[in-house]
Amino acid sequence: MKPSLTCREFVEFLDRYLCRELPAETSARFDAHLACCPTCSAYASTYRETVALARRAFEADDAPVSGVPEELVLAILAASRPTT
Amino acid sequence: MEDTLLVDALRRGEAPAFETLVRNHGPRLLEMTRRLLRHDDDAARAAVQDAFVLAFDAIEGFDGVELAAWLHDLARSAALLRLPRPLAEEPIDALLPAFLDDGHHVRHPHAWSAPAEAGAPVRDAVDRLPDAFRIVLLLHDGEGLGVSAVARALGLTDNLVKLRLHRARQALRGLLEAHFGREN
Ligand SMILES: [Zn+2]
Repeated sequence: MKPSLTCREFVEFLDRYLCRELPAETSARFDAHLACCPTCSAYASTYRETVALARRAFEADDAPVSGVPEELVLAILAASRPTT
Repeated sequence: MEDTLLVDALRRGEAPAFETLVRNHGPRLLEMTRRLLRHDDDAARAAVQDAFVLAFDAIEGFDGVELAAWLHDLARSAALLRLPRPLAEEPIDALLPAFLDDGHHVRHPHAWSAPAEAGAPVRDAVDRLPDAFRIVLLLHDGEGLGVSAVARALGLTDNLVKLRLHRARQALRGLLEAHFGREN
């Protein structure tokens, strides 16, 4: 039986655990730590919430879109006017 | 005008098509380059201009499938080229979880949850991360690139991208805890 994980180890490799990149035996030790450590459990749930919030914050429909300033439109057209 | 018709008109060098392209696709591209360049408006505008000039030159070779995605890739690459290099990597230890010598947490994280409309405070918090972490998080979680694509875009190894992404999320978690934890 390997020694149980420390909280530091749990948090350090949390991303690999959540992405299921850890070997099965290691992942089982993470499962066990998560089940008995309320601190890491709270950390893991707020970490996942953070990842979800970041994705949502930058989804096209959520981020505000303003127009393109007219002088930029003109500058782009001037820089790339068809030569024919 | 549909994109396929627009591309045909662009290939014929019709001037109105160029203007339509800029007006249709410019706003989203500018929003994205502003995000990557942290609201440095001059650099963001220059990146969009770079992208359109490249697109007009390369329209002959464009495969005609996804015009918006193609322009988006060009503008993103142009924005990355305009980031101040090397990417700022100031320490973010203060935002990372702290541990005692025995490996236990120094303190219990606050439980918090964000309101439904959390976009603005989350984007503000991301803006506070040093560029080396902010850009990896934006490319991966905002732009939806995979780890290897982020690594190629920034000239980093996959492992360094994974590490910076994890640190960026941890730091963001700390900032959001300070923001949303206080409101609850
Ligand atoms: Zn723990």
